[in-house]
Amino acid sequence: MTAQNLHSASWYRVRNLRPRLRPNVQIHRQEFRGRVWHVLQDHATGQFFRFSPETWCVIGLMDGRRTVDEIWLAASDRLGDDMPTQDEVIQLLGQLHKADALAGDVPPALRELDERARSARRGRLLKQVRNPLFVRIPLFDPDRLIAATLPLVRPLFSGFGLIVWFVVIALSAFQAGMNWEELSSNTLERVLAAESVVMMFLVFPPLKLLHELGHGWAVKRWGGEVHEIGIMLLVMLPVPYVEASSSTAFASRWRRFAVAGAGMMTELLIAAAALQIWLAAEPGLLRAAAFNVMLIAGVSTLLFNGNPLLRFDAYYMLGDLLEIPNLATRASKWWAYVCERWLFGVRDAQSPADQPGEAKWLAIYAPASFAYRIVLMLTIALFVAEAVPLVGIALAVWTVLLTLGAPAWKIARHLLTSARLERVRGRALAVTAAGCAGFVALLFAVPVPHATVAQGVVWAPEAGRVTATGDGFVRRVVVEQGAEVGPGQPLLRLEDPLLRREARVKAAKLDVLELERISREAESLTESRLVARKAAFAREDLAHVERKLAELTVTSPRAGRVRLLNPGDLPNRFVRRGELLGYVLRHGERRVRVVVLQDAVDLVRNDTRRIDLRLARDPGAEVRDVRVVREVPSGDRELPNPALALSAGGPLPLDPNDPNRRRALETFYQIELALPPDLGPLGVGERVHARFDHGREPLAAQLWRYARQTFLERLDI
Amino acid sequence: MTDTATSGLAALPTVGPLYRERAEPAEGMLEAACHAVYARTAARWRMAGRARAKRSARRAGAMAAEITALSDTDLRARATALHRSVAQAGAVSEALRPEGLAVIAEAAWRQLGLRPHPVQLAGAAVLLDGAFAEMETGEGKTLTAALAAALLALTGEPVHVLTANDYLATRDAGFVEPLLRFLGLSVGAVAGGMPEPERRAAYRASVTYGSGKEVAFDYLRDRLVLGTAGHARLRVSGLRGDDRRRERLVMRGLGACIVDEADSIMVDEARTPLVLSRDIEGELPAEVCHEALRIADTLSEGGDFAIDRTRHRVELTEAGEDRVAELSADLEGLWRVAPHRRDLAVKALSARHLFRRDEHYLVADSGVEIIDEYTGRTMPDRFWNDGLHQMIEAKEGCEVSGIRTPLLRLTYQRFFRRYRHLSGMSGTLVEVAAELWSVYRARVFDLPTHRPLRRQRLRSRLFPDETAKWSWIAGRTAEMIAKRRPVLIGVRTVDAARRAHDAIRARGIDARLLSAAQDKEEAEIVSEAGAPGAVTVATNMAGRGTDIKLAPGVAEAGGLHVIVAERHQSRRIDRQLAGRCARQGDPGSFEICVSAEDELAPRLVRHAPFSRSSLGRPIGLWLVDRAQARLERIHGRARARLVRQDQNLEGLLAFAGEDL
Repeated sequence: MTAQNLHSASWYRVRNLRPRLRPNVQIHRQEFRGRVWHVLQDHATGQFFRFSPETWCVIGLMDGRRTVDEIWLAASDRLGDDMPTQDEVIQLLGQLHKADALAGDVPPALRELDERARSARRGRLLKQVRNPLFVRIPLFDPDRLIAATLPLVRPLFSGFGLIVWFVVIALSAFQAGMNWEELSSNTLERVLAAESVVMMFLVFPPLKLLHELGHGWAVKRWGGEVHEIGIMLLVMLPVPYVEASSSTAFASRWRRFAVAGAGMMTELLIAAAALQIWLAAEPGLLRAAAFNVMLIAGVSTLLFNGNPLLRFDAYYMLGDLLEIPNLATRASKWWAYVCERWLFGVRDAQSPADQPGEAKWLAIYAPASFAYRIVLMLTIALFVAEAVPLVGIALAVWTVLLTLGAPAWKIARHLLTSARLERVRGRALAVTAAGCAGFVALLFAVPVPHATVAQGVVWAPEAGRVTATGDGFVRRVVVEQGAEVGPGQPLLRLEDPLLRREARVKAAKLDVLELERISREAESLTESRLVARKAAFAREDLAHVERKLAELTVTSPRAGRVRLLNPGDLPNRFVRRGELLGYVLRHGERRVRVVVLQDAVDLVRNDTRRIDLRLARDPGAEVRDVRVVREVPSGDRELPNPALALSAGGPLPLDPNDPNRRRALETFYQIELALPPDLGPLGVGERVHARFDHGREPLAAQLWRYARQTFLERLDI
Repeated sequence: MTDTATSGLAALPTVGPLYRERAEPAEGMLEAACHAVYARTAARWRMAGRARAKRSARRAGAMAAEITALSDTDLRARATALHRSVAQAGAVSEALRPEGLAVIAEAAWRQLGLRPHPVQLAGAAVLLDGAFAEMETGEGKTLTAALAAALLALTGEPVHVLTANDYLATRDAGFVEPLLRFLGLSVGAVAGGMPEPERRAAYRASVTYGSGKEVAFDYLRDRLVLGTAGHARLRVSGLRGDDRRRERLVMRGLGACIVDEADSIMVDEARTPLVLSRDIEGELPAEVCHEALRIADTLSEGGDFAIDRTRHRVELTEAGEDRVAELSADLEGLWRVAPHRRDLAVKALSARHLFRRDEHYLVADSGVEIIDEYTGRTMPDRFWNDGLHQMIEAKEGCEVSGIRTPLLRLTYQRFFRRYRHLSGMSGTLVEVAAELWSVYRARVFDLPTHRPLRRQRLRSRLFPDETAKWSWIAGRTAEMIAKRRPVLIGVRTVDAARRAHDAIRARGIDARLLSAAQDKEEAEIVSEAGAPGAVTVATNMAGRGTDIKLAPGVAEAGGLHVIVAERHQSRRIDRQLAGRCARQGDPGSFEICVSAEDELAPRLVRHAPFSRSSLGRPIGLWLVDRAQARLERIHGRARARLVRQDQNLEGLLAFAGEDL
């Protein structure tokens, strides 16, 4: 406690009061990180106040007999260096009064009471308006309902219940693992099927109601009260909620933890039951329903409620686990403290991390949660905007303004009016302005390399293909890789031992026939002619085989340079007729076909300064400054090469309805790039990354273009 | 004129059973924000209000011929009729204004020998409107206020005319008495040190003159009598016919208020709240003070503590804290607890380095007396709180008195907001128009001068050090005296006044000193300040309201010459000082002299040789200008914060019951 002023100018107003706590005030003892704190609930607003041991000592002195002045003096005696300042005592009394915990000896300030009620009402209303994506509509007081139904589930909220739960969940997880293939295959399709959506809407509310009742029962089980249940319009989807904050008063953090976790545990239990049904039932409506229940209760719950970055179940669970209550608020405060202390130089700034080990959690939580919220908000906003364009866009803008604008406004107000910053306001404003200016400059003025990266494959013309003209083993590669050849020049020789033998047999046969003809010539003309005929056949036969033998020499289809595929592997390899062995390419004929998605094509076509290539096989090798040969003006959906499919590591997702697996799901454009001829062993069909350089452009411009494209594309405007 | 006139009291309509004042409006954050924006924009379009005021003045002028013709008896009868209709209406409605102004103007002519000119009538109309009038210094604001006060008093509401100091209050009350008496009204004046029965009598008069501080403190004391339950209890006791409580009250309530020198009282002084202290409650033992001072003396500036002169504050560094702990290791009591230890050290350091004798306080027989930084007068009944006073007493070797705990604390802002009708005037208001709107919801109208202004501003000067400044000023004074012109030298502190005095005396020139140490001869000094060759050295107190009348022949010689010997806390105070010359069409001149050693001079000017080159001087002067503007801003923010804290406290302190 190192506040500057020990004395307060308002002390005279309070010094003679004799305050004491109201007898019916409930104070709860809780332990956080080894220190005992006292928690007091304000039943009017549902707020909780947490008092440190020092503060509690001051409260302990309020017995209705001591005056505030005497309390302060006694506290300074007892606490020594930790004594509170007068302002802190006034602050404390004010807090206690606001929580209706104070009984004094003065008539109340009626105007203030009235004002307080008014502002509480207004606050509740404002909260609704402030966040239209999360509107809460309270319905009724479920306390009695929960009390009445509690006996039904009470056994579950015990140590034994916990063990049962774990066993059931573990078993189900095992079963789910066994049936994983079936469970996980084309989930998306199943989810998006029309009847499934309807089912989802039917299943969702009761499931969530059970989830909320889970919280309610848990609160009730350990002596808390639940006085509000209602419907929250979560992005216009009705979701039930319960007001379970009375669990904050529980002394055991594990009970608080259990209350927060009860919802998810309930759902997981339901998911486990649904799994059994799914396993047992025949395909049909029941099975589909079970599947949906599993999906919602198992997966969506873990994704949504199980994320501590949002203020849902897991957030409270994390807070109890770490013993850091009010994590989010205190994390923001911690960052404010860091700024004030180290950037603005407020020497007496006090860290809200008052217990060992808290600081690191506070440091991590705030930025993580903020970033996540922004991403989530934008996603939701975009989703809503897609569904109902006009309203959605307004909603999206409002949400973004709130997520970014409200904190900005708060920061600005703090900077301008906070009394704590008074002496360093100049510096604080300067540092903040410099920070903002730096950020803006970074965003708007500092050009950042801007480029589109696309994938493609190396491509060559049909006429240059060198294919095996027959089946056989490669005996010899006649030319060197890259050698200049003329048309018809042998490139490599194949060998087929059977064919050679056949030729020899055929030749021998012809020789025999020839001899026979000669010997018969003298005997009978007729016979000799017959044999001559036979010999002619045999000759033709031999010629045929010889032709085939000749075909075993692969020749160049045209003039150009030889580019064999894998020349090192060729000798002694068996090739089949028609197999592609390589290319004979003319100068500059080798190209790269790049596919560019629709949203980038404008930029690539109109604002490309330079194109660089990089091989997928060898990312270190880079080909700089290649030239565009041809742009295919219209979009295409037929893949030029299967390597470009998403499943093969390319950019294009395939259309699942195409049996040939050659059609892309979205339209793309092809651009042909020239390759420098002297480039080393770059095989045709090889995957290539092309980087279209758009020069340097400030980030803001890049983001703006991206945002505009996203909106244009997704909202069809 | 310290006696109070209470005749004609019987004729007054009695005020209702209540102690009348305005309830403070509750205001949301949004509303306040809107008003702040309005204050900076629309409140500056003062056209409509000014036109209305001028119309009233014109109509009054048109009626003048008819009214001039009346005999004294008929005029009195006319006044009585007016009285009746105003009292019936309960307010000076716009329809009644022209006639009212005309009648009172005529009465002023007959009783005071002054005929109010149209600007004064317009000014009075602005005041009746519940707005603020900026009127050039020397335009006759006293008479303007008297016109409006007389009309407002006809409603039967208590009318307070607040002036910058007691001297002005007594002077003005005496000045307007014949006029009010003629109208069947009474006038009273309160001044410091007046016993309670006399005060009560003064407040019972239709119009009461008093300094802002006196009246505000009287109000505080009344609040104390009324107690927490306030009005309700008073009403009940009134019903029961049990009027003991009422008898202890001094005032009749907060009815109408006309603040003369409004910016001084409502803006400058509003930075420190009014605190009514109880007599001795606790004590800070003398030996503790001496120990603290002894320890403070061993601390070094920079290493152990830092002095923030702009905000008038001392801060202990961490090293300083350790050092204090070390030095007080063998001491008992408060020294054993770190926060107390720190507190004592800071107090002792403040006493040593921030509060200077003859600038912030005087040492009188009774002990340390605070000097009011705005009026330059001592305030024997005020004390610094939480032990600071005791520390300074110890420092000066006086007997260390007991600590006085506050009984009541009230900001000027809240005090003025409780008036049912709030209006005011000053020569320098435009600068604070936005603040007047944000805080009081009052508009400012600037009125033209009656006669063309003949004030001459001479070139400002910058000197490297005090000695050079004073010797130049002495030379300048000699120059002016040779021309048979009177000279007024305005300084900021008693100490500076003494130095100026010495410098001038060294030249063999006789000068009168007008400062907090000798305020009994004040009226006499002021009355002689306009004589040919008269030299007067004055602290702030001469800057406001004092009318230095030129002796015959002085106007021909060039009128009064004012030397502003140091930049003050705000441009308005400088302007006020300059406004002592060239009043009501007289000629006059003024100049501003600044030295690099002045307290307001920024560090850059102090250390860089701006004053030594003709090129540097304008830059140096400009920097001093900026420093002054900065100080004004800081003070403005301090006031805004005070108001805000006041409101926040109300919520926080709700457990302590309603504030008084």
